[in-house]
Amino acid sequence: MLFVLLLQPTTYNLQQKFSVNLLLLGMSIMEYTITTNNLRSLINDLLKEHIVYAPKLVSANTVLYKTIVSFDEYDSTALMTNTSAKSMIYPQTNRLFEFAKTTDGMVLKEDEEVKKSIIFGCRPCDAKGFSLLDNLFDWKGYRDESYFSRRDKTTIISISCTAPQSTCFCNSFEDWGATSKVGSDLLLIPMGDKYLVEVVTEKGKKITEDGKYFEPATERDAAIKQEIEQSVAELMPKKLKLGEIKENLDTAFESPYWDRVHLPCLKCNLCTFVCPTCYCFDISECPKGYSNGERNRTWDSCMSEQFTKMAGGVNPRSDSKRRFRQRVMHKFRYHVDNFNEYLCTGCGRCIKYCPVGIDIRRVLEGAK
Amino acid sequence: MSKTLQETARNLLAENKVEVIIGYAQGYDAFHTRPVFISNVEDVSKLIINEYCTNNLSVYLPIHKKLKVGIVTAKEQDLASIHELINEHQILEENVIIIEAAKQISSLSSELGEAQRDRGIDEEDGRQEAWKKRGYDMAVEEFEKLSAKERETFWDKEFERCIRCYACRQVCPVCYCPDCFVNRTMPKYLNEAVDMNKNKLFSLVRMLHVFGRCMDCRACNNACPVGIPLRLLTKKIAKDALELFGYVSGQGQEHPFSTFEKDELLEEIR
Amino acid sequence: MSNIYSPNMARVVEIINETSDVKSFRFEFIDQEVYKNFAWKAGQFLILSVFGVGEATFTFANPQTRRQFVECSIRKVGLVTEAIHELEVGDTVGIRGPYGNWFPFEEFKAKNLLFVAGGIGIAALRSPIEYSLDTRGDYDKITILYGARSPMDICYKDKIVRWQDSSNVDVTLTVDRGNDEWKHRVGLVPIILKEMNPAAENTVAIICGPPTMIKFTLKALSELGFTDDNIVTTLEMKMKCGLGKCGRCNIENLYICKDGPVFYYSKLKNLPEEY
Repeated sequence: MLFVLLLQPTTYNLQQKFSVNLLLLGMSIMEYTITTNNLRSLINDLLKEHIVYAPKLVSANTVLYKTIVSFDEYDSTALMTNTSAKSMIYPQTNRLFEFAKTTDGMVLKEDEEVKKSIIFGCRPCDAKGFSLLDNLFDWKGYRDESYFSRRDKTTIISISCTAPQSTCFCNSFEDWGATSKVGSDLLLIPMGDKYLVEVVTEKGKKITEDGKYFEPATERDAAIKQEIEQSVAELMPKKLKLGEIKENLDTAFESPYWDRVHLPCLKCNLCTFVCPTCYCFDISECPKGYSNGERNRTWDSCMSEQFTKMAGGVNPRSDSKRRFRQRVMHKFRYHVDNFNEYLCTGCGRCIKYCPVGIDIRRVLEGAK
Repeated sequence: MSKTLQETARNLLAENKVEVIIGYAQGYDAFHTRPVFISNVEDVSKLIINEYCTNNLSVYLPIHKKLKVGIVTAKEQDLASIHELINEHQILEENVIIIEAAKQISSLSSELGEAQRDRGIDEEDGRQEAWKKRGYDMAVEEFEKLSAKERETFWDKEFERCIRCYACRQVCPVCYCPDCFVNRTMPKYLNEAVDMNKNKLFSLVRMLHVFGRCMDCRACNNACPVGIPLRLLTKKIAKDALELFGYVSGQGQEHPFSTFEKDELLEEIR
Repeated sequence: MSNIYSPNMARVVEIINETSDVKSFRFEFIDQEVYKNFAWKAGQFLILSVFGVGEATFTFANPQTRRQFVECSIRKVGLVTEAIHELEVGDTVGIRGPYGNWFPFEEFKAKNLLFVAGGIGIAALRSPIEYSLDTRGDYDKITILYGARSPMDICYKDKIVRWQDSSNVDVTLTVDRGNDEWKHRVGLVPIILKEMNPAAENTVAIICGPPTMIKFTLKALSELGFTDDNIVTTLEMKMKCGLGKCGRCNIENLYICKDGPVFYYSKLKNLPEEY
């Protein structure tokens, strides 16, 4: 058995809010193994009572989290989905309620109970994104049920990565790596024809309770896991010195650095929409007919001009530079001041998909 | 090739002929480039030109129209976009100096642009087959053979995954409207909810707006994070412009939509 | 309601035309229980829904000491406010809130209060003005300076008369451009303020108005000897959730909707100018 404490203290408390973290209870991490065939059977079993989201090839080179109807639809080859797992719990268009004008006046109808679901094949960087969102959506005395109703009913089965890309930088975060568990309920580490299974939360434990597909892990498995961790770490691109970067950002607001670094940015919303942690939203109306409609919460982006533009036309972040700076500052300075964690998991999607090749790592390293 | 380019850029800056050079620099790895703004002679060594230079840099010209700009073009479409922007009075001809790498590199980049789109295609060869089957490579002629219903089904499936990040619009050189119809609130044309119908409405209306102005430069297609084959649409509108109006964009012809005469009224429209 | 974004239903009970583009609306909750628990303080704001059009943020125009109804004064500037202006008595709206912080009146005790309002800024200052009149004994001298573009743009004409009648309250009105009937001052707020020459000692200045007016008023106050920790203002920013989540009112580590909108200038001036 391995007794590894990979999580930072701050993250513990946050994790605890929505599910009991077994580490906190002083229990060792329970480890099992599961063969690929048994995993197929497990997922197919779970499909009976859950909606299962998993990476699915939807078009050449486009892999997205989609509802699957059988394990075979799961695409195990893609390192990363094009968009993050965020939308499985925090959908881009999230109906808050419907309204209808009736003889009793205006009536609101909130959505019915959400179904139990599983995010399967989530990468640790996406899973960590949820732990960051958890904190935000239960902050300043307001707990956002439209988020937690889904979050509480979702079990996250992550699979660690073995081959990071040139855009990955998850290792820059303290105590973080390809086999990190924050945000996951179960973590699967691929080992050839089987997976090492680490139980992270009570929700994860529930899945392994049945037992028929799992076998206890051996010392040998633990040793292989360490080897894997080692080899992935070697493949990772260089680490960012985030502590130093934060210090630099603390005094960089007025820096002329921002005058130039934003120039290539064209202010689309891409980086914020593919991000597993960007949470900013809009509340918008979708009228249906004369007296009915629904109110939605829709993703919004600090990159968009409309984000801070007031009805009268005044816009405190009207220019490209201010909006670019806001995104960087919010993720790596302001959010850290409030939550003691970076609003980033190092998934690298914003680098990989940026249409003008802006590399947030380079932007951060240059900030002074 | 990059050396010649750097030399040209150095001279332009040193002789004060331009205030800034917009070109390409090395991106996050060897297979990617990024747009770069150079205004100091010391920085010209950042400039490169290779088959991975796929961005259409002319999109930056209207944003910096007040500056004297030297701009690197890597393919013919980039060059055409600049001419189109001049024709549409978005930029002043005298403010732009074109550093044309297009001739040397165009044949390469038009093919490799698509490889670039897949972002790391070498790692994921297995998908090539599926890629072709999915219709990305569907020639316009083939697409035209589809019935209206089949076309609708095809696009419904593609636009279902659109996240309306508007990257396609932002990278488009001719989508320079400061007040795009989707952002207007009075009246409100499109609400923020993202669903297939609204996504389709946005993209198809955008296509109408760029009809005859689109250079088929692939910027929108390359920018899409979820791989929607916008290229099929841009090719289709280019073909329609040619067949219906004998018009090829970016060649300095008068735009068919601005030369309408009453006798032109087609039978079909009535 | 389990959902923090679900509003409570309210009815328009009275509409007052203030100026050509400002109307005051008085609302009553349909469920009296909701109203009992709906306690606000001067300076806070609410989010008003017109179903089918959307939501917008407004400050309470009436203070907690005058809570017969919920009142907001609304200028027609955009999509939602235009829809609000079309409302009639009896129409249903949604209200959620109250949100944000409030004017720290406990810190103002035994001090002189100087209210400076420009344009629609008076809507945000009406509730603290009326609150201070209702708890008059707690403060020393109360001075109000209110400037508008023209006599036609002066809001709360009847109320201002009543404020003037209160004991030991000095009200000065000014317009940028007057007409034959205008009997008050003519001139920009910061200039009139300097002419009034209020004593800075033991005085708190509470200001609200358009950005340019604020900028020059701050300058004038500083010249009059007001220190930054004796100036209080309330920020107007685009807000959507009011709950410190949607991100648009984020400045540094603050969310104006939760940590504001009321700020001492001593705090505000250390923030980047993104408001």
